[in-house]
Amino acid sequence: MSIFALYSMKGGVGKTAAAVNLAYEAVQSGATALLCDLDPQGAAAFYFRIRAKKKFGRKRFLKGGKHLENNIRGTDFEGLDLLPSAMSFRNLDLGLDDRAKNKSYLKRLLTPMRKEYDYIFFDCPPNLTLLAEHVFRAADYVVVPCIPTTLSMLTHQKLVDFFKKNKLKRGKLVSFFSMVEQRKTMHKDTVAQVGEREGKFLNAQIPYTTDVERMGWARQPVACFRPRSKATQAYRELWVELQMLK
Amino acid sequence: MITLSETYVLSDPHGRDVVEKLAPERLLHVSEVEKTVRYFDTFDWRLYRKGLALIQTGSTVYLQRIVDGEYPLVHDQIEMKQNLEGRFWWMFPEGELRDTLRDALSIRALLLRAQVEQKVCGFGVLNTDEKTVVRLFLTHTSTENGHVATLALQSVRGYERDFENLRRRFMKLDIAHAAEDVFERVMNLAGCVPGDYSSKLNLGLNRDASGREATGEILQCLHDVMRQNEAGIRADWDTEFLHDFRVAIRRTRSALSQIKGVLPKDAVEHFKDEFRQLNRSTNRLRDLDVYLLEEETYRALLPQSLQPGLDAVFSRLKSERRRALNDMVQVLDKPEYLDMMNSWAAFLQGVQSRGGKGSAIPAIALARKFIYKRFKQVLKRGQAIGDDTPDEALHNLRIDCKKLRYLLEFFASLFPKDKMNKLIGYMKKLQDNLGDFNDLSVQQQELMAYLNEVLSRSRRTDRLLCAAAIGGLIARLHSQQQVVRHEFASAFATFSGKKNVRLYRDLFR
Repeated sequence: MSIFALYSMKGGVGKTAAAVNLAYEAVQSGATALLCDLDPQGAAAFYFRIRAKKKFGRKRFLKGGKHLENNIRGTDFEGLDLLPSAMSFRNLDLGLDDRAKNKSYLKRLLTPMRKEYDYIFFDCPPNLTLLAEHVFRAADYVVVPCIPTTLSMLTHQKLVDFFKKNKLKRGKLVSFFSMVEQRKTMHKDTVAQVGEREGKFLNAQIPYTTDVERMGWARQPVACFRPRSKATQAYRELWVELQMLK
Repeated sequence: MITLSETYVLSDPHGRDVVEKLAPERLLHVSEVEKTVRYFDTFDWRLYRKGLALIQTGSTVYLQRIVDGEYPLVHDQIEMKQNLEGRFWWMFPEGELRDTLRDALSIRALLLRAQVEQKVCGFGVLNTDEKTVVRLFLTHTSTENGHVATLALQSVRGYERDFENLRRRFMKLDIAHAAEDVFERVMNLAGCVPGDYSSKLNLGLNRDASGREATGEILQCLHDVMRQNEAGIRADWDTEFLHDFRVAIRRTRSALSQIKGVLPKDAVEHFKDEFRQLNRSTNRLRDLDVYLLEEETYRALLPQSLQPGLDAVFSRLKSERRRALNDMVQVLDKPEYLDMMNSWAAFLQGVQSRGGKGSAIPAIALARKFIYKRFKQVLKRGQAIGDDTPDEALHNLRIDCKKLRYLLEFFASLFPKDKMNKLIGYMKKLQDNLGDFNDLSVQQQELMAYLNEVLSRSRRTDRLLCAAAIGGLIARLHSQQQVVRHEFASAFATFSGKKNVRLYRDLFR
């Protein structure tokens, strides 16, 4: 049982796309997975054509147990379930602040699900708040998509520093390059200099392609409507690498 | 994952367009798989009796639980290309599946019980967002004998209401019924009836039956058991075919000699003699089977230093068994055997029309008379046994007990089930004790004989090692036998206790 949190301080770096496609890859060999959408945008649910139940929101999520489990819904893919988010998740921080001082409340919430699923994925909102800290403690791996630009790498360094400062296990932090455009010099150079960066970078890179953008139109993981796309291949390689982490 | 699932048998065995009828506008054809499905079980259906089915499709092997039309997997499936026929549990890769098989199969081998062709089509029923909310699996199972079509409805987590709606719509179509016996239907299609063989005597005697009718029924059942086991003895799938065959012979002989005055005397004498001879021809093979089955137990009795001697002993036993099996198969193939069994069958057919003087007495009266008489005898003989009584008396008591046990089993269906179970329970401890005592003394005698043979005839260099191992075994078995003998008194006490005596008196006097 492993928990992967797809996280980045920046928005629009391909977190949700990665979460959806990795979760899909995870169940292809018969394993079971739960994708927890923590981002109030609810994009993951959209990709899977799932609507959250009307009464579901922050309060039920934080109550946990049956209140949470009853809102898990099956996707079109056997073995893969989704816990949709809700608009009220924008205030998850407030609820977490009330409940737990030790920042492991989220981890406790997930205890019953650890037995049921082989993998749990978090799709996190793009900010470094209390929720993010809970996520860092609950996850076995914090998987960070990085666009290979100077600014992105600066943000990445800040995350590494945050881990150091807060005595979080830095081994949890793994990153990969996302939305890579080989024709851009800056992208090429940044990728080439990865050895000088702090933190672990995976070999697999997700290319910038319209196939990923088309997920919004197809409302499926890329592998389902573009099985031979470079993106499909890249997510598959990324999943192989993530599984080998120990 | 919490999912609801229901399986229905369709009235139309081809079951076309049922899915289209059910959800015409929003249906997604997801998958289509054709496969050959093989079902394995022991000859006496040990898995089926535990509600399990062992299935091989291609190189995938899995155990299913057969409950109420649902067929959940018991453990993760495993990969195994080899044919499972003739395999024992210990020939499976280590894991949960093997552990379950060990508990269920014990020393019996797996046989191919049924083979069917299956085509499974998977569909998704979509909602307005084109999201799958219910899964449908249409399964066509076919053999040369016909078809069965089933439809399974499976819910998607969080969409239970859609499942319920679809299920209701399906019931309204009235083209199927909920199926609790899909497994049995599929088996029947392949030409077999699950649970059709048991070594136990499952008779349902009529309470008003005459002694002649009941005896005929008992003997017919035993005759069938013998015939059913012939093929397994020939093929040598496992040792229990011969064992069941022998038990049926023993029961037949016991019935012939104990149920007196019902069948014509000359015929009884004739067949008693025939079955005695038949039994004798099975002895050697069974003895060798028992030694080889006990190999691990014997090995555990001796220290490491004496193990090489045992290796030699067991390799000799194994080659001897090959010869004994050959002899046994020859007996079954001889025209004398077939003639005897045919004339026995013909005799049983005619039992209704013939008969001795007591043949019209009701079976229940006969049963009471014979059982109570035998019980009193066992009681008397058992009470006469003390610590200094010669072993011979225990052997005789064992045989009397066995006779009583057989009588109880023959006529069990005429009496209340719970009380009969109690009686048999009280008897079991005593019979186990006497059985152990006997086995240990037979084994010592056999080993003694074997020892003489090894020492006098074998010129092999390892004969001294063999002799040492055998000597060690005899000593260990002897001390075990002493312990068993000591326990006799307490085993007999339960049997001769007030409760048991009262039960016999109430039921049979």
